[in-house]
Amino acid sequence: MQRINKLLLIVAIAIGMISCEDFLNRPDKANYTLSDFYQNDEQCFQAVNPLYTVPWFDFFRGWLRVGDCQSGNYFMDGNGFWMLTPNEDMEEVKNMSASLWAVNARANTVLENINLYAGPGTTETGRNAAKGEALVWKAMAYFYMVRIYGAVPIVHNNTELLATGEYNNLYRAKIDNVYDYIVMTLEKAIEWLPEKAHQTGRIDQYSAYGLLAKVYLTKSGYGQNGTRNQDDLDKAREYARKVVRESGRVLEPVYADIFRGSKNLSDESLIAWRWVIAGETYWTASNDLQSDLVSSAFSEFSGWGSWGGPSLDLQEAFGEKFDGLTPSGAISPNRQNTDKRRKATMMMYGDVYEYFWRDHPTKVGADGQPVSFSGGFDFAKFYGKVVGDFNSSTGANCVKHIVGNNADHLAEFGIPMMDRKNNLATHILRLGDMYLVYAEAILGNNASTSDPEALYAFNEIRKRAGVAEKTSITFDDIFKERRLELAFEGDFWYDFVRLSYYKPNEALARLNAQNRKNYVGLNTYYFDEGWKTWGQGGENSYPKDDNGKPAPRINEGQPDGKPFTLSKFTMPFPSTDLAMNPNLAKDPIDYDLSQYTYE
Amino acid sequence: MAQQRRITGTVMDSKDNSAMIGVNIMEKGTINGTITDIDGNFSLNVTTQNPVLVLSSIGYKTLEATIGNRSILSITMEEDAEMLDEVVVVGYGTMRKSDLSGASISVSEDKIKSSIVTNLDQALQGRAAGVTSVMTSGAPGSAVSIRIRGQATINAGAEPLYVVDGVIFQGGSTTGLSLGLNLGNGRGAISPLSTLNPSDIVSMEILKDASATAIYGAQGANGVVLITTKRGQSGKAKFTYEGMFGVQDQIRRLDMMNLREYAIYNHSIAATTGGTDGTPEYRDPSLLGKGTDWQDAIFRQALMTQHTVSAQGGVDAVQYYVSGSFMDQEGTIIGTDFNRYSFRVNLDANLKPWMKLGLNTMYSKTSERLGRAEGTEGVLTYSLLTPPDIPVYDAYGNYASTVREGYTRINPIAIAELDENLLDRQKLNGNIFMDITPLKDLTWHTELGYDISNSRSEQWQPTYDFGPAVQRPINRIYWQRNNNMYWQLKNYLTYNGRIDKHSFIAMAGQEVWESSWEWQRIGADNLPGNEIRNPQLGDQDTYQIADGMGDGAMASFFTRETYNYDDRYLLTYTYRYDGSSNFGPKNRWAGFHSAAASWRFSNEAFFTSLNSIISNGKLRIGWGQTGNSNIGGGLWGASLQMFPTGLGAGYKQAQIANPYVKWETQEQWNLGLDLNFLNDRINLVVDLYDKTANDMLMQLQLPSYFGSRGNGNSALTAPMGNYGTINNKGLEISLNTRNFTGDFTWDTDFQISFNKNKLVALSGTDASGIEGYGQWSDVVSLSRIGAPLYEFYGYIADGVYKNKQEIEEHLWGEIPEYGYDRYSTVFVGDIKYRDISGPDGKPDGKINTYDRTNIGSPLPKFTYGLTNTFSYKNFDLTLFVQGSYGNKIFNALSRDLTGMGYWNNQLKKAMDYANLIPIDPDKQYPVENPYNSGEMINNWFEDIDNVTLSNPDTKMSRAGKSLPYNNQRISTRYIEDGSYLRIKNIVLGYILPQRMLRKGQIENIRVYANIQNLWTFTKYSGYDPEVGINPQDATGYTFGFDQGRYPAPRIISFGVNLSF
Repeated sequence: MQRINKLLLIVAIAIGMISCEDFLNRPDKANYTLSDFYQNDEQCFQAVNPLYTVPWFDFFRGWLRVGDCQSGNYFMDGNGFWMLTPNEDMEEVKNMSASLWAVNARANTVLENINLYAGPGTTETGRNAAKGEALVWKAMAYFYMVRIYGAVPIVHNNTELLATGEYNNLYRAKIDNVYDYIVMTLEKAIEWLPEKAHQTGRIDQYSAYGLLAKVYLTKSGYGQNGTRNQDDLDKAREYARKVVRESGRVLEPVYADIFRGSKNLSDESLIAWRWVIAGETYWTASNDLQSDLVSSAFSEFSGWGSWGGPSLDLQEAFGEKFDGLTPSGAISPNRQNTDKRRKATMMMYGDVYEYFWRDHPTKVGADGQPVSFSGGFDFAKFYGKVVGDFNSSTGANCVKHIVGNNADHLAEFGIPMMDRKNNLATHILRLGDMYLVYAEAILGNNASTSDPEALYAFNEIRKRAGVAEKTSITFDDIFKERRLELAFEGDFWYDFVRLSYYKPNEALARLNAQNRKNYVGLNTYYFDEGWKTWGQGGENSYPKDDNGKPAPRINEGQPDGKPFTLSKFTMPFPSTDLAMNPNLAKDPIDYDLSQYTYE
Repeated sequence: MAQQRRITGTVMDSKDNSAMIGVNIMEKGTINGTITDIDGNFSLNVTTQNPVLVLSSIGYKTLEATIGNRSILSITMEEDAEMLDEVVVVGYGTMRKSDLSGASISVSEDKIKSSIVTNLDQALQGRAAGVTSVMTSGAPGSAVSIRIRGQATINAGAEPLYVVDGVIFQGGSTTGLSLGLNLGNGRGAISPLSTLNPSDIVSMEILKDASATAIYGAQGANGVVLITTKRGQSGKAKFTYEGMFGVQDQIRRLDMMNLREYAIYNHSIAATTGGTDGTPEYRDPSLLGKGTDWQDAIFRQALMTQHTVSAQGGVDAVQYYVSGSFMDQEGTIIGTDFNRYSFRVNLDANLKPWMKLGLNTMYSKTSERLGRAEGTEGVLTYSLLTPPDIPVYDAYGNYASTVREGYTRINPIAIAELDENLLDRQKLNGNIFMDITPLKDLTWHTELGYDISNSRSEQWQPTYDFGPAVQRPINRIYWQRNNNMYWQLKNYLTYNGRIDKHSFIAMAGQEVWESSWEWQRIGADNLPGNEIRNPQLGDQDTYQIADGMGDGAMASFFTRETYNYDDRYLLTYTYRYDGSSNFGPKNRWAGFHSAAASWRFSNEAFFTSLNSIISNGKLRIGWGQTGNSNIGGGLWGASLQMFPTGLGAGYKQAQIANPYVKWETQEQWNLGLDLNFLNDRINLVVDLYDKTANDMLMQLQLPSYFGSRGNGNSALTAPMGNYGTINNKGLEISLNTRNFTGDFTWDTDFQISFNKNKLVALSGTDASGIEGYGQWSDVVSLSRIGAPLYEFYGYIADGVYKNKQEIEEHLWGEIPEYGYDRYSTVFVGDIKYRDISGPDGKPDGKINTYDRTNIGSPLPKFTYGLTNTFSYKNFDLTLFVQGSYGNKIFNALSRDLTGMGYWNNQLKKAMDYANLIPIDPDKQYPVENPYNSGEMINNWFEDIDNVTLSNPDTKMSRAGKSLPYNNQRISTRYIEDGSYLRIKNIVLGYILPQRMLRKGQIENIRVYANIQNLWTFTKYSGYDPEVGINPQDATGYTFGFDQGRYPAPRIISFGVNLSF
């Protein structure tokens, strides 16, 4: 028995001792680790792909709020962005900053990982192209940051910053420093990127040129008084020209098509967020902006945004102006359709969209009666018969970023939509923008220009919109054209920021001159068909509301946050960071950019 | 060979000469034995020459009876007053309680039983000094969060290690999210221990100080709870049945506005909001009824019932304990319930005189409907915000909704009853072990333990249609299956030695375990109907698949030496060496030492004269190290996660690697004193401790420019590493007195625990801290260096601005550039936050982020429990109160309910909103009413020079639409005193007299009535002051944040225990 015991004892100890290290070595079996990846060009590109969506997702909503709410394009009753009182306690404000910095961190790590781990199966062209794409995204993030927050710290390499232990002591870099850093980043990207990407929809050299042109145009006014720096303007012109004249890209012929799912990969698109529907594990992969812009009755899925809408000021810019007396503007069943961009930007009374609700559904109306949509989505019929209430107090809803219902998504993409998820790409730098950047760079500090290149670029945009060409253009012309061309593309605010760099009071005056009111009484007016009688018999022919009072009219009492002040041009830095790093509250410093290189 | 001879006898209790049932009788030196029957009688064939019987029964002194020539015996047994010699489980062995030098505490079966306990962890509340137990939710089956001696770690799991009969109980995952449920943003609270049937438990030992937990080394840092289940004893089969039936309800209600009050509130806001017309129906509140009481609609009287049948007994070679139980509990919020089936078989077999085999097996199956009660999207918050003008059902019995201006809130009852979160779990847990005694006093214990569990969850979102604005035309389903497998193998040798007055136990052993898990999730949209819930029926293009897997392992070697000299001087030394797969090769292994000594001074010669007063006195001192490795696998490296993009598959780096991440190490000192007075009538245990966790495992706290904040998918997760130090100091007192003995007995148990927690150090700058979030990214707490963890962080509110002058004085005369505007600047009636600092560290006349400060700690100064047990003849009465003192609660629900919103219902106190009145009512500001054209109204409230408040002492802010000034900031407005005293349990029991039972062959029947949570004394205005960790915060850095938490119900129950 003793012998058996001894034997058992030995066995037991042996079991405990055998190759503990092997037993304890548990690599991640479900996922690649850094050192197994980046083994061919395809993997290098796959490492860059998330930069086209994931880290940007939490910026997305704020992007539209800043770009179009603050700037006066999109009305949201009482919203902090609309009132220009965004504060750091607002979810979108915090998300925006977290998101932009996540883009920077992810771009930095992609660069570092490719340098460290790329295997012999990769090619230099492939590695460079992947790194070049990452750099353009990094530059894009910084470009948004400098225009939103002004001075921000430069985080060139996250791993190194972590190693130095100085991560909580950074100062902000001066604004011109940040612009120089963006330029330096894009110049390297241009060097690395191919003229044509191996896959449509990716960033190529011309995407980088385009962004660089816009950066130079913006930067040209910084630190100036009344005029812009000619060298910067020349650069902007040079790079914009490359995109407009040399890239071989052509404008998407039909304006409305740019924002359709089937045109996700249009030539028009230079840089885009490439959303895709993916399961709920992959929150942040898909486009969810439609929910923010439509009513829940618009599609089979969530929606809560029908209460906001294109502002009266934007409507006026499109010619939909209410003069207070006759039925005009939104208070009229007749639409201004000369400029084709109007209908592609905002839906109003009388508009029917054949590419929304193309399954021609019959809905049960608010009164229980069936309502047919045989011609597609009819804005007035939808609110009047189905919802039973005219939600938007500006008389309009947004069209861009909207896919439609499930049938529309199926038709555009071949797959159904999911709740708060669709496949629509968001173009954040497109050819139309570059044409106008080109024209503005040529105009430069002149009061007007008839330069043939400027006229060419400017009139190409107008031709597509269906409006008359011009023979001489001024800053005002371009400012307005940009607004109409790029409304709800998260861009208009930065036109004010760009102007504020060298003409702050003019930028402010333009904001303060906007009509930021809304309407009352639209419901009664439209759905009692009051418009049929208005104007036919003086005072008595005014449509009436429930109390027998005249309707509709502009709601002069609507709070609009005006008048705005200069401080509105920079948003506060997130307060969480100030608690950790008090240096951020101090004056920005000069960074020595020569310490940074890209390899 | 001696001759067999039959002896018979009776065993009686020395106290009252009553027959003793189930006394275990063994013939000494043999395996021959029996037990007494219902009349205390036994018979046994003895085989040895001078037979000696060993009689044992729990709670009585073991007795050896020499038989001599007698064949009929009458034996009396004495109660064991000296419980000191109780044998307790200590981890890898047992020890006499009197030999312990460390701090540990027992919770015995009777304590577990004296409260209704559906989950085992609930039994620890208020029962054990040093243990803070907080129910994370009042939902059936939900988890209790337990902290032994304070919060000792911040990120790596802080729950204690549970060991059931030697097998580490696998929690798997306690987050609803990881089981595939949609319970809100964060963790949800699924209790792994709810799979265990409390009736099977015979005792729980809680190991508190490091010298006690060090034997668990790397897994012992948060304390260890050793759970021992029942085992059979030789003798006739004994059957027991325990049945219970109870009714639960919610007794507290928040004071919400009813319809009439809501109408008054709504209409009066409209009157000072620039002509907003309000809702016409609200113009004459006297015509309105009370409306819907949504609290009554979502709360219900809920039933619960529990039945356990068990059998135990055995012959000399084999003993068994077998049980089966069923528990069914409805939740007090509609749409929630829980049920559990569990079975246990524990077997012991004496194979050879030197070899014993044991087998423990537990199988359980639970099913839950979890609903979605908590958080800002939870049914509770949602229903409170729903205006009282919507009925629950319309005239046709459908869920009603009222569409106003094209908008409605979805009927909360519909949400509660339609959307479902279902969870089924199964668990098989147990072990097989052998004790081999090759030499006298040497035992080799070898054991294979396992824990196999799986779960299946279902998230179901049916289609519905409550009118055009509120419909879901496409339904959705998800199924998720999780599988977990765990095994452990351990071997240890124990040698018991004794030479004269020196006795010692030496133990050395080895253990390895491996744990692996995997999950698969499938889902689909657009099923043809709501009847058959099968993802396969959904639209193929919406099929979703997700999966994951992982594993972990640990290898350990350990030893413990205890030495006892003359029962006066006791020494213990423990060492454990652990290797964990959670760490990289650089820091995989770590060793943990502990040493303890105690002096039983009452056994000293000089003390004998005092023994009549102090029957036992022991001084204990201990020091030890333990560790923590609970960070999950693979975090020392960096992996890439597949993520779909519009350009094809993407691979994104999940986290920043830190190959140097290593063990969190905790060091603890303990000083204890045990005193028993007056022949153990009074027992006092006092412990003082000081423990420090170094190299705390957590994610590095980085500023947002590092890119590591925000959405978990977007952010580049900060590296996991060793970045902090936490200290806990505390005092624990347990006092147990037996005030009366005899026919009338009265026992009192009192325990109180003081703990002081401090974050000592954190990597980064001095200014860094650990943020805790509410439901999303709102910072509600900040743990700062030098202060306790989880302190609430926000503004100090000093009432409201009464007039313009007050605003200008407070803000140093800074007038808004374009004047005051009630829609975009600060205005009369806004909350006046205290200006305490600025960028230069001094008040600056501005209210901004520099004015945030510590506004209260959610951690209690002390917690306590007091149990009084009375018995008289067949009656017994237990009264148990328990409480917490000095903790603050952030009442986030009240924040939502005093937001002065226009569309949502509010607390009644919101009617006292800062009410603007004109100073000069005659001054005219005519404007046209935008809602009523042609009508002129007087907009006096736009002129800040002409407004003041009718209720200047109000704590509520002004009401209206588009309020620019943030009156809902995290501030002292929502901080409330969370101290409470709760009458946790009152149990009245009656044991039916024996003579009534004889005929039915029944041994014993006890019936009882129990009231749990009868009443809570507290100043807290929410439902329930027992608010623990915030399950809605995914990081888990928020405590005491009440965001519509499921309140604990009152339970009235009746039960019967019978045995035959």
